[in-house]
Amino acid sequence: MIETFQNTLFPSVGLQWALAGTVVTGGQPISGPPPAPDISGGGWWTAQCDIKLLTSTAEIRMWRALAVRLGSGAVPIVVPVIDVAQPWPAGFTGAALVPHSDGSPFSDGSLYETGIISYAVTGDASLRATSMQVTRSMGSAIKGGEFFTLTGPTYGDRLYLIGAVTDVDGDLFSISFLPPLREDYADGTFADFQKPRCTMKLSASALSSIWPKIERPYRGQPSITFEETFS
Amino acid sequence: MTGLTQDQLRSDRNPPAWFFFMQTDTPVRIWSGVGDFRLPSDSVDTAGGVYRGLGIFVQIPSIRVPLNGAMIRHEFALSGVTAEVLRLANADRATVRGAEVFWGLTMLGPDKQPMASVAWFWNGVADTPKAARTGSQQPVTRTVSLSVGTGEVGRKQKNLWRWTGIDQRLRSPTDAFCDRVVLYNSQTTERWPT
Repeated sequence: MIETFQNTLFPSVGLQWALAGTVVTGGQPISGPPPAPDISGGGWWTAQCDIKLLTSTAEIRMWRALAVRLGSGAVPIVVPVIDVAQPWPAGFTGAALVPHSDGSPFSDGSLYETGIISYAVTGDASLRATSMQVTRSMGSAIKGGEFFTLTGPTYGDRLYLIGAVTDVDGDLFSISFLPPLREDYADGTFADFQKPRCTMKLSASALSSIWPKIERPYRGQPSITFEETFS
Repeated sequence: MTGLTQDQLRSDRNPPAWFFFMQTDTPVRIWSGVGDFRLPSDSVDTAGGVYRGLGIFVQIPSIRVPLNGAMIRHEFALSGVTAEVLRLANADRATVRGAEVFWGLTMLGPDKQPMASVAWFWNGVADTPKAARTGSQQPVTRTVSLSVGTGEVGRKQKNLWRWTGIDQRLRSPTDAFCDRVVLYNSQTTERWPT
Protein backbone atom coordinates (compact mmCIF):
# COMPACT_ATOMS: atom_id res chain seq x y z
CA MET A 1 0.00 0.00 0.00
CA ILE A 2 1.51 3.25 -1.11
CA GLU A 3 1.12 6.20 1.21
CA THR A 4 -0.84 9.23 0.02
CA PHE A 5 0.45 12.74 0.50
CA GLN A 6 -1.94 14.50 2.89
CA ASN A 7 -2.85 17.82 1.31
CA THR A 8 -5.31 18.61 4.05
CA LEU A 9 -2.64 18.35 6.73
CA PHE A 10 -0.07 20.20 4.69
CA PRO A 11 -1.83 22.60 2.31
CA SER A 12 0.34 24.20 -0.34
CA VAL A 13 0.54 27.95 -0.58
CA GLY A 14 2.14 27.53 -4.00
CA LEU A 15 1.65 24.48 -6.15
CA GLN A 16 3.03 23.79 -9.59
CA TRP A 17 2.26 20.69 -11.58
CA ALA A 18 4.34 20.42 -14.72
CA LEU A 19 4.97 17.91 -17.44
CA ALA A 20 8.75 17.85 -17.74
CA GLY A 21 10.53 16.88 -20.92
CA THR A 22 13.97 16.65 -22.42
CA VAL A 23 14.58 19.08 -25.24
CA VAL A 24 17.68 18.59 -27.35
CA THR A 25 18.90 21.04 -29.89
CA GLY A 26 21.37 20.69 -32.67
CA GLY A 27 22.79 24.15 -32.09
CA GLN A 28 22.05 27.53 -33.54
CA PRO A 29 21.92 27.41 -37.34
CA ILE A 30 23.33 30.30 -39.39
CA SER A 31 19.83 31.66 -39.73
CA GLY A 32 16.44 30.72 -38.46
CA PRO A 33 15.28 29.13 -35.26
CA PRO A 34 17.22 26.10 -34.04
CA PRO A 35 15.48 22.74 -34.21
CA ALA A 36 14.67 21.63 -30.68
CA PRO A 37 12.50 18.53 -30.44
CA ASP A 38 11.51 17.00 -27.12
CA ILE A 39 13.00 13.54 -27.19
CA SER A 40 11.41 12.22 -24.02
CA GLY A 41 8.43 10.94 -26.00
CA GLY A 42 5.77 12.53 -23.83
CA GLY A 43 7.43 13.67 -20.63
CA TRP A 44 6.90 12.92 -16.97
CA TRP A 45 5.07 14.69 -14.17
CA THR A 46 6.70 16.90 -11.60
CA ALA A 47 4.99 18.71 -8.74
CA GLN A 48 6.49 21.47 -6.67
CA CYS A 49 4.63 22.29 -3.47
CA ASP A 50 5.43 25.21 -1.21
CA ILE A 51 3.91 24.10 2.05
CA LYS A 52 2.19 26.54 4.39
CA LEU A 53 4.03 27.80 7.41
CA LEU A 54 4.17 25.02 10.00
CA THR A 55 3.71 26.63 13.37
CA SER A 56 2.91 23.95 15.93
CA THR A 57 5.10 21.23 17.32
CA ALA A 58 2.56 18.66 16.11
CA GLU A 59 2.79 19.95 12.54
CA ILE A 60 6.57 20.00 12.55
CA ARG A 61 6.64 16.52 14.04
CA MET A 62 4.24 15.13 11.41
CA TRP A 63 6.18 16.77 8.63
CA ARG A 64 9.53 15.46 9.82
CA ALA A 65 8.05 11.98 10.11
CA LEU A 66 6.88 12.23 6.49
CA ALA A 67 10.28 13.49 5.37
CA VAL A 68 12.07 10.55 6.88
CA ARG A 69 9.50 8.05 5.59
CA LEU A 70 10.04 9.20 2.02
CA GLY A 71 13.54 7.79 2.26
CA SER A 72 15.37 10.32 0.03
CA GLY A 73 13.24 9.29 -2.90
CA ALA A 74 13.37 5.54 -2.42
CA VAL A 75 9.75 5.28 -1.32
CA PRO A 76 6.90 6.02 -3.75
CA ILE A 77 4.04 8.21 -2.63
CA VAL A 78 0.72 9.03 -4.25
CA VAL A 79 0.41 12.79 -4.69
CA PRO A 80 -3.11 14.15 -5.18
CA VAL A 81 -3.83 17.07 -7.49
CA ILE A 82 -5.88 19.67 -5.69
CA ASP A 83 -7.66 21.65 -8.36
CA VAL A 84 -11.02 23.36 -8.66
CA ALA A 85 -11.03 23.26 -12.47
CA GLN A 86 -12.41 19.74 -12.58
CA PRO A 87 -15.84 18.76 -13.98
CA TRP A 88 -17.73 19.28 -10.74
CA PRO A 89 -21.51 19.17 -11.27
CA ALA A 90 -23.26 22.54 -11.50
CA GLY A 91 -24.63 23.74 -8.17
CA PHE A 92 -22.62 21.14 -6.32
CA THR A 93 -22.81 21.60 -2.57
CA GLY A 94 -21.55 18.30 -1.18
CA ALA A 95 -21.53 14.58 -1.74
CA ALA A 96 -24.71 12.60 -1.17
CA LEU A 97 -24.57 10.73 2.13
CA VAL A 98 -26.00 7.23 2.28
CA PRO A 99 -26.62 4.97 5.33
CA HIS A 100 -26.43 1.18 5.45
CA SER A 101 -29.31 -0.74 3.78
CA ASP A 102 -31.24 -0.92 7.03
CA GLY A 103 -30.98 2.83 7.46
CA SER A 104 -28.38 2.73 10.25
CA PRO A 105 -25.16 4.79 10.14
CA PHE A 106 -21.67 3.66 11.17
CA SER A 107 -21.11 3.35 14.90
CA ASP A 108 -19.68 6.86 15.07
CA GLY A 109 -22.70 8.26 13.24
CA SER A 110 -20.99 8.77 9.86
CA LEU A 111 -22.51 7.72 6.53
CA TYR A 112 -21.25 6.49 3.19
CA GLU A 113 -20.24 9.20 0.76
CA THR A 114 -21.01 8.78 -2.90
CA GLY A 115 -18.83 9.89 -5.80
CA ILE A 116 -19.63 13.13 -7.55
CA ILE A 117 -17.83 12.84 -10.87
CA SER A 118 -17.79 9.53 -12.69
CA TYR A 119 -16.19 8.86 -16.05
CA ALA A 120 -15.08 5.50 -17.45
CA VAL A 121 -12.75 4.50 -20.28
CA THR A 122 -14.76 3.27 -23.25
CA GLY A 123 -13.20 0.94 -25.77
CA ASP A 124 -9.53 0.52 -26.50
CA ALA A 125 -6.94 2.28 -24.31
CA SER A 126 -3.59 0.71 -25.04
CA LEU A 127 -0.07 1.56 -23.92
CA ARG A 128 1.22 4.87 -25.31
CA ALA A 129 -2.10 5.96 -26.76
CA THR A 130 -2.72 9.70 -26.58
CA SER A 131 -6.40 9.66 -27.45
CA MET A 132 -9.35 7.60 -26.31
CA GLN A 133 -13.02 7.80 -25.42
CA VAL A 134 -14.59 8.22 -22.00
CA THR A 135 -18.25 7.92 -20.99
CA ARG A 136 -19.80 10.13 -18.36
CA SER A 137 -22.27 8.88 -15.80
CA MET A 138 -21.99 11.73 -13.27
CA GLY A 139 -20.57 15.22 -13.21
CA SER A 140 -20.51 18.04 -15.71
CA ALA A 141 -19.00 17.87 -19.18
CA ILE A 142 -15.24 17.94 -19.67
CA LYS A 143 -13.91 20.81 -21.74
CA GLY A 144 -10.14 20.29 -21.87
CA GLY A 145 -7.51 21.15 -19.27
CA GLU A 146 -8.78 18.71 -16.66
CA PHE A 147 -6.57 16.23 -14.84
CA PHE A 148 -7.63 12.62 -14.51
CA THR A 149 -6.14 9.43 -13.13
CA LEU A 150 -6.24 5.91 -14.46
CA THR A 151 -5.23 3.09 -12.15
CA GLY A 152 -3.54 0.07 -13.68
CA PRO A 153 -2.02 -3.15 -12.40
CA THR A 154 1.62 -2.37 -13.23
CA TYR A 155 2.15 1.31 -12.57
CA GLY A 156 -0.71 2.08 -10.20
CA ASP A 157 -2.13 5.60 -10.22
CA ARG A 158 -1.04 7.65 -13.22
CA LEU A 159 -1.94 11.21 -14.04
CA TYR A 160 -3.06 12.50 -17.44
CA LEU A 161 -4.13 15.93 -18.61
CA ILE A 162 -6.73 16.49 -21.30
CA GLY A 163 -5.39 18.52 -24.19
CA ALA A 164 -8.55 18.66 -26.24
CA VAL A 165 -12.04 17.26 -26.33
CA THR A 166 -12.29 16.36 -29.99
CA ASP A 167 -15.83 15.02 -30.16
CA VAL A 168 -18.89 14.89 -27.91
CA ASP A 169 -21.71 12.44 -28.56
CA GLY A 170 -24.15 12.62 -25.67
CA ASP A 171 -22.18 11.30 -22.70
CA LEU A 172 -19.41 9.87 -24.88
CA PHE A 173 -16.36 12.16 -25.07
CA SER A 174 -13.41 11.70 -27.42
CA ILE A 175 -10.35 13.18 -25.79
CA SER A 176 -6.70 13.65 -26.56
CA PHE A 177 -4.29 13.94 -23.68
CA LEU A 178 -0.70 13.73 -22.51
CA PRO A 179 1.44 12.03 -21.38
CA PRO A 180 0.93 8.87 -23.45
CA LEU A 181 -0.78 6.08 -21.52
CA ARG A 182 1.69 4.33 -19.22
CA GLU A 183 0.08 0.92 -19.68
CA ASP A 184 -2.95 -0.86 -21.12
CA TYR A 185 -6.26 -0.03 -19.49
CA ALA A 186 -9.30 -2.24 -19.85
CA ASP A 187 -12.63 -1.07 -21.20
CA GLY A 188 -14.60 0.35 -18.27
CA THR A 189 -11.59 1.50 -16.21
CA PHE A 190 -12.67 4.31 -13.90
CA ALA A 191 -11.22 7.63 -15.00
CA ASP A 192 -10.93 9.56 -11.76
CA PHE A 193 -11.60 13.26 -12.28
CA GLN A 194 -12.61 13.75 -8.69
CA LYS A 195 -9.34 12.86 -6.99
CA PRO A 196 -6.66 12.94 -9.68
CA ARG A 197 -3.32 11.74 -8.37
CA CYS A 198 0.00 10.35 -9.50
CA THR A 199 2.53 7.87 -8.11
CA MET A 200 5.65 9.89 -7.48
CA LYS A 201 8.80 10.06 -5.45
CA LEU A 202 10.85 12.76 -3.83
CA SER A 203 12.90 14.51 -6.48
CA ALA A 204 16.62 13.95 -6.05
CA SER A 205 17.31 17.55 -7.08
CA ALA A 206 15.43 19.00 -4.09
CA LEU A 207 16.24 16.64 -1.27
CA SER A 208 17.36 19.24 1.24
CA SER A 209 14.41 21.65 0.94
CA ILE A 210 12.04 19.08 2.40
CA TRP A 211 13.68 19.50 5.81
CA PRO A 212 12.11 22.53 7.49
CA LYS A 213 14.43 25.21 8.69
CA ILE A 214 13.19 25.92 12.18
CA GLU A 215 13.03 29.61 13.03
CA ARG A 216 12.15 31.34 16.24
CA PRO A 217 9.86 30.99 18.02
CA TYR A 218 9.11 27.57 16.54
CA ARG A 219 8.06 27.46 12.93
CA GLY A 220 9.31 26.32 9.57
CA GLN A 221 8.25 26.51 5.95
CA PRO A 222 9.42 23.51 3.91
CA SER A 223 8.85 22.90 0.24
CA ILE A 224 8.73 19.58 -1.48
CA THR A 225 9.29 18.52 -5.08
CA PHE A 226 7.97 15.28 -6.46
CA GLU A 227 8.65 13.56 -9.76
CA GLU A 228 6.88 10.65 -11.37
CA THR A 229 8.45 7.28 -10.64
CA PHE A 230 8.28 4.18 -12.79
CA SER A 231 10.07 1.44 -10.92
CA MET B 1 15.38 4.50 -44.23
CA THR B 2 12.43 2.17 -44.23
CA GLY B 3 8.98 3.59 -43.81
CA LEU B 4 9.92 7.18 -43.11
CA THR B 5 9.49 9.76 -45.78
CA GLN B 6 12.05 12.44 -46.46
CA ASP B 7 9.63 15.05 -45.14
CA GLN B 8 9.17 13.23 -41.86
CA LEU B 9 12.91 12.94 -41.36
CA ARG B 10 13.45 16.59 -42.21
CA SER B 11 10.91 18.04 -39.80
CA ASP B 12 12.42 19.61 -36.69
CA ARG B 13 9.27 18.96 -34.70
CA ASN B 14 9.27 15.20 -34.92
CA PRO B 15 11.40 13.85 -32.11
CA PRO B 16 13.35 10.69 -32.77
CA ALA B 17 12.87 7.58 -30.66
CA TRP B 18 15.78 5.18 -30.44
CA PHE B 19 15.48 1.53 -29.63
CA PHE B 20 18.10 -0.78 -28.19
CA PHE B 21 17.58 -4.51 -28.40
CA MET B 22 20.05 -7.04 -27.03
CA GLN B 23 19.54 -10.71 -27.69
CA THR B 24 20.48 -12.19 -24.31
CA ASP B 25 18.63 -15.05 -22.58
CA THR B 26 16.19 -12.48 -21.28
CA PRO B 27 16.28 -9.98 -24.13
CA VAL B 28 17.06 -6.41 -23.13
CA ARG B 29 14.67 -3.85 -24.57
CA ILE B 30 15.34 -0.18 -23.89
CA TRP B 31 14.16 2.94 -25.62
CA SER B 32 15.23 6.54 -25.32
CA GLY B 33 12.05 8.13 -23.98
CA VAL B 34 9.92 7.97 -20.85
CA GLY B 35 7.67 5.10 -19.86
CA ASP B 36 7.02 1.91 -21.75
CA PHE B 37 6.84 1.47 -25.51
CA ARG B 38 5.44 -1.65 -27.09
CA LEU B 39 6.79 -2.79 -30.43
CA PRO B 40 5.20 -5.52 -32.52
CA SER B 41 7.37 -8.42 -33.61
CA ASP B 42 9.57 -7.82 -36.61
CA SER B 43 12.58 -9.36 -38.27
CA VAL B 44 14.96 -8.31 -35.47
CA ASP B 45 12.86 -8.58 -32.33
CA THR B 46 11.00 -11.68 -33.41
CA ALA B 47 8.90 -11.88 -30.26
CA GLY B 48 8.14 -8.18 -29.95
CA GLY B 49 7.75 -6.71 -26.51
CA VAL B 50 7.72 -3.78 -24.18
CA TYR B 51 10.70 -1.45 -24.31
CA ARG B 52 11.53 0.26 -21.03
CA GLY B 53 12.27 3.95 -20.95
CA LEU B 54 12.87 6.70 -18.47
CA GLY B 55 16.39 7.81 -18.54
CA ILE B 56 18.31 4.59 -18.94
CA PHE B 57 20.50 5.97 -21.68
CA VAL B 58 23.06 8.44 -20.47
CA GLN B 59 24.89 8.78 -23.71
CA ILE B 60 24.25 7.47 -27.14
CA PRO B 61 27.34 7.33 -29.33
CA SER B 62 27.25 8.75 -32.79
CA ILE B 63 26.53 5.58 -34.66
CA ARG B 64 28.65 4.98 -37.72
CA VAL B 65 27.59 2.37 -40.18
CA PRO B 66 30.70 0.62 -41.51
CA LEU B 67 31.20 0.11 -45.22
CA ASN B 68 33.40 -2.50 -46.86
CA GLY B 69 33.89 -4.50 -43.69
CA ALA B 70 35.59 -1.82 -41.61
CA MET B 71 35.45 -2.61 -37.92
CA ILE B 72 33.66 -0.14 -35.66
CA ARG B 73 33.18 -0.20 -31.92
CA HIS B 74 30.67 1.96 -30.05
CA GLU B 75 30.32 2.59 -26.33
CA PHE B 76 26.78 2.82 -25.03
CA ALA B 77 26.62 4.54 -21.65
CA LEU B 78 23.73 3.40 -19.51
CA SER B 79 22.62 4.73 -16.16
CA GLY B 80 24.31 2.56 -13.56
CA VAL B 81 21.64 2.81 -10.90
CA THR B 82 18.58 1.31 -12.54
CA ALA B 83 17.72 -2.28 -11.76
CA GLU B 84 17.65 -3.27 -15.42
CA VAL B 85 21.19 -2.09 -16.06
CA LEU B 86 22.52 -3.54 -12.82
CA ARG B 87 21.14 -6.89 -13.89
CA LEU B 88 23.11 -6.57 -17.13
CA ALA B 89 26.29 -5.48 -15.46
CA ASN B 90 26.27 -8.07 -12.70
CA ALA B 91 23.89 -11.01 -12.80
CA ASP B 92 23.77 -11.47 -16.56
CA ARG B 93 27.33 -10.45 -17.21
CA ALA B 94 28.30 -13.78 -18.72
CA THR B 95 25.46 -13.87 -21.21
CA VAL B 96 25.98 -10.28 -22.29
CA ARG B 97 29.33 -11.02 -23.86
CA GLY B 98 28.82 -12.05 -27.44
CA ALA B 99 25.14 -11.11 -27.45
CA GLU B 100 23.84 -9.46 -30.57
CA VAL B 101 22.85 -5.81 -30.20
CA PHE B 102 20.51 -3.99 -32.53
CA TRP B 103 19.94 -0.29 -32.78
CA GLY B 104 16.82 1.17 -34.34
CA LEU B 105 15.14 4.48 -34.99
CA THR B 106 11.74 5.86 -35.69
CA MET B 107 10.15 9.29 -35.49
CA LEU B 108 7.29 10.31 -33.25
CA GLY B 109 4.51 12.42 -34.69
CA PRO B 110 2.69 15.30 -33.00
CA ASP B 111 0.51 12.82 -31.12
CA LYS B 112 3.63 10.99 -29.86
CA GLN B 113 2.81 7.96 -31.95
CA PRO B 114 5.49 6.33 -34.15
CA MET B 115 5.24 7.50 -37.74
CA ALA B 116 6.65 4.26 -39.16
CA SER B 117 7.92 0.91 -38.02
CA VAL B 118 11.36 0.88 -36.42
CA ALA B 119 14.27 0.86 -38.85
CA TRP B 120 17.01 -1.32 -37.36
CA PHE B 121 20.02 0.22 -39.01
CA TRP B 122 22.94 -1.02 -36.94
CA ASN B 123 23.86 -4.24 -35.27
CA GLY B 124 26.89 -5.44 -33.39
CA VAL B 125 28.17 -7.87 -30.83
CA ALA B 126 28.37 -6.87 -27.18
CA ASP B 127 31.47 -7.09 -25.05
CA THR B 128 31.45 -7.36 -21.25
CA PRO B 129 29.91 -4.29 -19.61
CA LYS B 130 32.08 -2.18 -17.38
CA ALA B 131 31.05 0.17 -14.60
CA ALA B 132 32.40 3.64 -13.94
CA ARG B 133 31.87 6.14 -11.17
CA THR B 134 32.65 9.78 -11.84
CA GLY B 135 32.34 13.00 -9.90
CA SER B 136 33.49 13.64 -6.38
CA GLN B 137 30.58 15.69 -5.08
CA GLN B 138 26.96 14.73 -4.81
CA PRO B 139 25.38 13.41 -6.85
CA VAL B 140 28.08 11.16 -8.20
CA THR B 141 27.47 9.73 -11.63
CA ARG B 142 27.47 6.02 -12.01
CA THR B 143 27.38 4.62 -15.50
CA VAL B 144 27.71 1.24 -17.05
CA SER B 145 29.23 1.33 -20.46
CA LEU B 146 28.71 -1.41 -22.92
CA SER B 147 31.14 -1.72 -25.76
CA VAL B 148 29.58 -3.07 -28.91
CA GLY B 149 31.50 -3.91 -32.06
CA THR B 150 30.28 -4.67 -35.53
CA GLY B 151 30.10 -8.34 -36.32
CA GLU B 152 32.23 -10.52 -38.59
CA VAL B 153 35.55 -9.61 -37.04
CA GLY B 154 37.97 -11.36 -34.76
CA ARG B 155 41.48 -10.81 -33.46
CA LYS B 156 44.14 -11.25 -36.11
CA GLN B 157 46.36 -14.25 -35.49
CA LYS B 158 49.37 -15.43 -37.42
CA ASN B 159 49.06 -18.51 -39.54
CA LEU B 160 50.94 -21.53 -38.40
CA TRP B 161 53.49 -22.06 -41.10
CA ARG B 162 56.78 -23.29 -39.70
CA TRP B 163 57.77 -26.94 -39.96
CA THR B 164 58.66 -27.18 -36.31
CA GLY B 165 57.47 -29.61 -33.70
CA ILE B 166 55.65 -26.85 -31.76
CA ASP B 167 53.65 -25.61 -34.72
CA GLN B 168 52.85 -29.12 -35.87
CA ARG B 169 51.59 -30.10 -32.43
CA LEU B 170 49.36 -27.01 -32.33
CA ARG B 171 47.84 -28.21 -35.56
CA SER B 172 47.57 -31.79 -34.46
CA PRO B 173 48.52 -32.52 -30.84
CA THR B 174 49.69 -36.09 -31.23
CA ASP B 175 51.65 -35.66 -34.44
CA ALA B 176 55.37 -36.02 -33.79
CA PHE B 177 56.31 -35.74 -37.47
CA CYS B 178 58.22 -32.47 -37.17
CA ASP B 179 59.68 -33.05 -33.72
CA ARG B 180 63.16 -33.70 -35.07
CA VAL B 181 63.25 -30.84 -37.57
CA VAL B 182 65.25 -28.79 -35.12
CA LEU B 183 68.09 -31.23 -35.51
CA TYR B 184 68.29 -30.63 -39.27
CA ASN B 185 68.86 -26.90 -39.23
CA SER B 186 71.28 -26.52 -36.37
CA GLN B 187 73.23 -24.06 -38.50
CA THR B 188 70.33 -21.62 -38.74
CA THR B 189 68.92 -19.30 -36.18
CA GLU B 190 65.32 -18.16 -36.40
CA ARG B 191 65.05 -14.42 -36.03
CA TRP B 192 62.51 -13.28 -33.42
CA PRO B 193 60.46 -11.29 -33.97
CA THR B 194 60.38 -11.97 -37.65
